[in-house]
Amino acid sequence: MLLHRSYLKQFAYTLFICLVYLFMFLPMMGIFVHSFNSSCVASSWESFTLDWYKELFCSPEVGRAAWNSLVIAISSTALSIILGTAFVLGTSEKKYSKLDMLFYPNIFTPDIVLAVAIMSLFKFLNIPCGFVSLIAGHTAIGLVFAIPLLRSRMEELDKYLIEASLDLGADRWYTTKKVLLPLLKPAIITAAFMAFTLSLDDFFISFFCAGNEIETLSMYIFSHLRTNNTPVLSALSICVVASSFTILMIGYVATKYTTMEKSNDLY
Amino acid sequence: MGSLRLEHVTKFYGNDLVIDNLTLDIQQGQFFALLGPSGCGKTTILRLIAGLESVDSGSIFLGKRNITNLPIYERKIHTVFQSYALFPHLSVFENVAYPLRVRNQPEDEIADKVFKMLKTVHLSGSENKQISQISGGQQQRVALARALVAEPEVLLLDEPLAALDQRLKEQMLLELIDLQEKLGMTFVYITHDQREALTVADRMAILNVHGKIEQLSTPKNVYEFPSSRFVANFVGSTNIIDGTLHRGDKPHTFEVTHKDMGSITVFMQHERNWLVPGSHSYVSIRPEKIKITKKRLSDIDNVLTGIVRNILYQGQSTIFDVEVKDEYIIKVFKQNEDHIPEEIINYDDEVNLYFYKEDAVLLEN
Amino acid sequence: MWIKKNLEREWFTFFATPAILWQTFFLLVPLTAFFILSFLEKTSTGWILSLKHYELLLNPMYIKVIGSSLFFSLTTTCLCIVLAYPIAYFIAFMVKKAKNILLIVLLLPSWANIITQVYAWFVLLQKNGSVSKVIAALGITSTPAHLLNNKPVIIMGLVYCYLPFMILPLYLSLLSIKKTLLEASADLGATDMQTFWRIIVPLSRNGLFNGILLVAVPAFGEYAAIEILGGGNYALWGSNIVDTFLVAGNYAQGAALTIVGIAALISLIASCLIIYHAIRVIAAFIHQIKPSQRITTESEEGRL
Repeated sequence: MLLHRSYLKQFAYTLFICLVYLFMFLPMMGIFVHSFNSSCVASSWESFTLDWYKELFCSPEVGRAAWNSLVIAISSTALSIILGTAFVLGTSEKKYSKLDMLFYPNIFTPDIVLAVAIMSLFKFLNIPCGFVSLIAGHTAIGLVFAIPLLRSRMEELDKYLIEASLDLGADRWYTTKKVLLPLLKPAIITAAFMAFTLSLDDFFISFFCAGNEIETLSMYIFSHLRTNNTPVLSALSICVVASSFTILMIGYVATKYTTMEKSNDLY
Repeated sequence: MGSLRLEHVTKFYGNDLVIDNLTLDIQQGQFFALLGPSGCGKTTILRLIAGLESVDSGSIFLGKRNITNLPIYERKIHTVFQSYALFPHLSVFENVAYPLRVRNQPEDEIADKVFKMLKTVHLSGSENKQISQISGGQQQRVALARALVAEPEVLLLDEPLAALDQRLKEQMLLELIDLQEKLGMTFVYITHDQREALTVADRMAILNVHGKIEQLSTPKNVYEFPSSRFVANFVGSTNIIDGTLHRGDKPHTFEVTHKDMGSITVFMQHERNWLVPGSHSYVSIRPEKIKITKKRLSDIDNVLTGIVRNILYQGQSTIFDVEVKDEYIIKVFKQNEDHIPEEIINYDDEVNLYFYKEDAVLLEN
Repeated sequence: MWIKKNLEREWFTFFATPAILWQTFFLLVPLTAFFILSFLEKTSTGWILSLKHYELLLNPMYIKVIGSSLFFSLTTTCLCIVLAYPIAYFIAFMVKKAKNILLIVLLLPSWANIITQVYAWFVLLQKNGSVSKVIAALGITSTPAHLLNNKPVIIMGLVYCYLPFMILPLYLSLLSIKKTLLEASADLGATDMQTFWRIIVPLSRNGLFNGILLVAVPAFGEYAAIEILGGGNYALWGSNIVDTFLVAGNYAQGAALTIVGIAALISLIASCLIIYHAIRVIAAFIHQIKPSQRITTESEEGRL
């Protein structure tokens, strides 16, 4: 659609885009460099060092926080997917369509509200906050994103595939297992990625609902922000980004090889 | 003014050559059809004229203006797309008004022109409907109205009737002819359906791969006197017999001798320099020009005998596949003129195929 | 729906219940409890029904706090829209092969925790950080500049964190616009800008709205990012919630604060929607054709 645009406009536009990409990457590059800098002062480069990374990997505190975050992320993702898929499958009839509205309040409530709500709930029930409260909160968030995703994929499905399966003699449970779920697989995978990312990304639920025993990665970073150990935090941040990226790449390549069908409009 | 000229136009898609050195002239006010098989480049040619693609070399002229480097929105050429491309968020009125709005024409003029145009395409009363509420045929008319309302110099039509059913197609074809005559505008119509092209066109070009023009002439000429085997086969169906070419006894007469089927006498109105006696030549005889009968007739130049292998009843006509010699099949169309045919032809009947020498055509290779 | 006809539904619906219970128990119930709690006041004799908490919130300090949060949310959202459209447009329409890669690369920084992202800016913009040293070197200021702890920087940080949330829904809805519509628009005489405003923007309304929700709502509740970049100098709704719940332990007051905050947010979004629709109605009114006159004249002519 850029035919015959004046070269000046084209140049200015591309420049703008490059600036935005630069904007997005500048801070990342900053802490990337910072994490290898032997000087604690961010702006003066002393020498290349892996000390901070060493410190990171040797720190039991970081290890525990990372492990906690991972466990919580995996559990809440699994729960979100299972509960979400079950919900979408179970409420596919028209008479249940209003149930989707149960999840609408989340659109208008910032994360902090959910965090405070869960914290109050646990306090009220006299249950100490910990893994349970964190997983509860992350799953609640994951559900809100998973359900619309799964729902819209369901709408797109070709219902004739289900009818064909039944016509050929498969019973209902078999059809669900062998036809419906595989067709939903792309949406399920996308929803899983989203839920996982949201869980790792989360701050508020950790802040309010972690209790005294548990520390997650985001809590660790936040609490150590003001100390002078900053290059370690940079190293940690780089590790987090790198591992998220790796997981995503693995997922991307894996789905490419299992030939996900993606229909594109030709017009 | 509304004449188009493509001069030595070449177009590549990446490394693939799509249009090879095409030169084409379309006169003002003509209903011009571009006919060709899929992949011959006709859509590309349309897009080059519209400005949706840019040429790699060559020029495009609209009247006297060189529009080769003119952006899409500055060419006074509008397109009716195959998918109609109607804006879903705008009503029928707004869709048709769109070209006028983007030119910032005054409001009352817009209303005037839009209503006139909707009346012309027989859509009065549908102004406020949404696109999703109207039928396919009506959508096609909206697309037409929208492309015409700003009075372009040329209208391009990209297989506009492809999505319509037979009856609607026939109706729209007549309306298009009417419209074009009334407006006196240059229409460029591309299609792969030769029936459509033959019906609407004043002149048509048959395109082969890479946009090569096999023949450019009136529909009648293209059909009755195809210039090559490709054209003969693509436009309608035909029977092709090959053999050695000899001159006949009478002037303008030639004989083509097939190794098994004997000689075919062909009448050629004009001498051509590729009519070289002794060369390997091809004769085309259209199926409707052949008379199929069990009787013996005299005074007809050409006769072949064979066995009826297949009969396809098609309502208006019947198609006979007649095996003339060892799996060589001649197709014959017989119009079903009478309720009770004078002669009943059945499977495995031995029949005579007669045709005049004027009805056969020699094909240039 | 078709699944009902074809698949046993009783036990399917049963399977749906855990999700329903989850949502109800962990969000809906607490929120309702909050609502009720906000009307209760703890006195020495027990709980009584009172509007004290809401009265306290009428204090100009609280109004300023919620106003600040609304301001940050609104500004961040607007800036995100302005930045996201060109980028989403670029990747959706001007790039043929590298779409996915460009998108992933753009969204890569967002995989870091929001704290990490804000922290990265913190490091860059510190008093002795790289950016202020560069600025000093360029001669703009004599000493290393104080770049943090002001509103523009906070907004920039928020935009940085939330831009991907605006880009993605916008991009997805732009993708769904069929390319022939854009070709038709240009073919009919519209320049690129005209096509953008008349075709692309209306057709990407859904994506835009989703994006607005995904940015405005969390931005309103921001706490950590503003703490870090603002040095604790900015009191916002989020920090107030932290204070009221965690520091003061005053759940009833906190409940009232929560309710009021959400109400303010919804009011903001609703009023924007109302303004938007009002503008559309007024514009349509200005462009009004009088169809009844025209139709009778034209269709009468047609019948002759």
